[in-house]
This record gives sequence, structure tokens and C-alpha cells, in this order.
Amino acid sequence: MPPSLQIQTESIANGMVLRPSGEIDLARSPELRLRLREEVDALPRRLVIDLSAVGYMDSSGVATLVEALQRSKTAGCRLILCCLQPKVRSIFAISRLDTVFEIALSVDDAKTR
Amino acid sequence: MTESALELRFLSHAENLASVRACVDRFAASVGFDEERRGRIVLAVDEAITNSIRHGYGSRTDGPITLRLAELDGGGVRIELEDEGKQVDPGNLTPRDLSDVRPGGLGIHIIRSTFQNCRWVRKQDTGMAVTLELPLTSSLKDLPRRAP
Repeated sequence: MPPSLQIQTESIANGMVLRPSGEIDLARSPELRLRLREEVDALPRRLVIDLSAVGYMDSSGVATLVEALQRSKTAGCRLILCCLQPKVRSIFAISRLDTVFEIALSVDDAKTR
Repeated sequence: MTESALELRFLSHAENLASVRACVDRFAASVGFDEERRGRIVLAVDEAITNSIRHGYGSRTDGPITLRLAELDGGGVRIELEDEGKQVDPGNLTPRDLSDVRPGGLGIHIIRSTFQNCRWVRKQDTGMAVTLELPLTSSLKDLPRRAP
């Protein structure tokens, strides 16, 4: 049985921090998509996605985040990415999404900005 | 005449992507690409295989895929990807408008912005053949902006 995507969570005063780990590609992105839907549907005021433990992401992973961003806007939730590793930051730059998402350098910054 | 060839044959199961990425990364390192360009090459090949899995095989997990890696004369890499899935008109494989923010549709853009030469061909009976080339001396067309 292939390993599932590990996602840690942390409740914060005004929402939730999600911390997926591993490589997010076509094999793993469906799990992330489902989890993000659940978290956004819970209507937190703030959803922080800490990507410090994600060493690789392809466009299927990016698509899940774009979908989550769209759903979060509809739900009135502020979605913030943080701690992007260079390879992950690269795909956001290539796809011009680094100016679309709110991206913080640290979890603390994402929690309090 | 190309040198240093590697051929991988695997099924269209997304769980195979990680292993294939590791092979592509090591091959790209062996022909001399730096970390940044290796990262782009690995990503672009991943995207091409993902397209084969999703669009060629409709996410079936039993479709055969062949990936060939070879070093170009003068340095660099030629990558050939073949499947036996659904055929598409190569003229329709154009990057979409990036200002249209929506999930999906980034694969072709990533591939074309990574490799100097890209060619998609319908095979004779069924399936597609993709050829991607990046000389060692070429620069990436769409270098990501570095974080401050």
C-alpha cells in the first residue's frame, strides 16, 4: 500500500495551520485537495498552509492550492502559504502565481499578518 | 550520435512518478546540469508524464510509458517520452493564458519554458511521442525570480 500524504494540523486563535509533508504530485495531490476542501468548508477565518516540509510540487499540487484559494475567497477565509522551499517557490514563479497567493516567509508571520 | 542512454519502461500509475523523477534527476546531474536546471528538467518531465497518464490514458494505471534519456552531442539532454494512449493534435498543445487564474493547464507552459526544443508527434497506430531537448549551454527561458 503506497504511503498516504502526511498532514499535520495546528489550531490557532483565528483558524488553522496545515502542514503537509513530502512530494506533492499527481499521486499525492488528490489527498491534499480533499483535505483542503474539508478545512476550508469548516469556515476558519484564516488557513495557513505551511509548506516547509514539501520538497517538491508539480502543477497538480499547485492546482489544488488554486482551487483552495478560490473556495477560501468564497467562504470568506484568508488563505496564506508560507515557508516555500526553492523548488516549490520556483513553480509558483513559473506559473505567475507568486503574485496571486499571499505568501509569508514564516509560520509566525502567516499567523499574525 | 548521442551518448549515455537510459531507457525506463513503466505503467501509467502516478505512484511511479517519484521513482522516475529520481532517475531523471540523477541523469541530468550526470550530464552536468546544475541544481536549478535539474529541478526544472525534473518538473517538466513529470508534467509530460502526468499529461500522458491523465489525458493519454484517462488516468488508467495499466498504460505502458517509455522514457528515454540521452546526452546530446556537445552536452545536454534529449528526452523522449512515448505512450500508447489517446492521440491529440499537436497543434492544440499550446500554453494557456497565465493571467487566467484557475486550477490546471500549466503543464505545457512548464514544458515549453524549460526545454529549448519540444516536439509532440502522433505515433502511427496509437499514442503520442514527445521529444524534449535542452543543450547544456542554453539558459532557461523563464527563470523564476529569486526570493529576496
